[in-house]
Amino acid sequence: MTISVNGEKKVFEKEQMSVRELLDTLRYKEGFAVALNTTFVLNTTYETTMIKEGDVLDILAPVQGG
Amino acid sequence: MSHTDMIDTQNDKWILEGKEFDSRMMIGSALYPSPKVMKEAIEASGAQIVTVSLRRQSGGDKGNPFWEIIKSLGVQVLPNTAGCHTAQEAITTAMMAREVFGTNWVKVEVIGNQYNLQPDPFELVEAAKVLVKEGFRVLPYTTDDLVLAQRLVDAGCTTLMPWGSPIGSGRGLMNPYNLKAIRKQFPDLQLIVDAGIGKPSHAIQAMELGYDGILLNSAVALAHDPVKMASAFRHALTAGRLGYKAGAMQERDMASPSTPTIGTPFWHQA
Repeated sequence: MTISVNGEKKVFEKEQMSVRELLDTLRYKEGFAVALNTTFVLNTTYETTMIKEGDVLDILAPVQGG
Repeated sequence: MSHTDMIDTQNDKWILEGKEFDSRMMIGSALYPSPKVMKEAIEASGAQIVTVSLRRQSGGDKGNPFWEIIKSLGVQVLPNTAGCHTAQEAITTAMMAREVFGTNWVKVEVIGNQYNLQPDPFELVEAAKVLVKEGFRVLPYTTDDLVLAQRLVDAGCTTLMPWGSPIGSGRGLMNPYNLKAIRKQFPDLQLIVDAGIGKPSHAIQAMELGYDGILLNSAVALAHDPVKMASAFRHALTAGRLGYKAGAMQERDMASPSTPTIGTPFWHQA
């Protein structure tokens, strides 16, 4: 499947995978939050939230702000 | 600082959204020349509330030195929704921020115009309604519109943050009349001038109007010496607050001599 992660196209052999699998594959550990197709994904649902072809993920972390 | 001043400021704790603070300043964490200067400036400001934001993180295992510094300061963080243009974007960002930063405080910022970064009042109220219901402490960045202020209060906000002037402009208080009107109409709300503060005198002016606090960033971060400017703002807030509490004299159209006129000697007696 082909998905978008933080605006970049990513291709995976699997047809679908959980948010947790994706985060582990991309080596995200802590200090971030996830939105799937612009909807917030609670971190307690990473295992059960599935990603499929064409999905758009945003993984956000703390930055400076005013 | 004299003994009297110390007593005044110690008895003047700021209760904001259920928490107690010694400083009435909120300071931003952006635009500093370096992380070291940012840390020193925040410390010099005395601020106990620091604004932060969220952006895409490209790599998973790089760590986050910025966030480590902020955590080490032991301050209340105030995540913003900067860059959002719709209520839904702001709501999603707020929920992500709550999880990352571990706070239900959020500065809700929904931009409606790219030229002056003016808040979109309609989307802002919509976002505030939803987020209050979701258990957030919503601190909305708003214009100085009295009717909009009422709508935000109706949505459940107990703190409002009207702009002094556009973000990053440093133009000070463009419309003191409107800011005064909001203060007068909402005596029990916590009111914070957010955006447009450029100089310590602007902060003093806002505090003299009876505002409860100031949120600033560029004025300190873009100063030639950010740490010194942070200290200047710290003093300005104290001066403005004490000035407000002391009660300023009434303005007069005509001059009035301050030195006694009785007993004037030989002048004007020709």
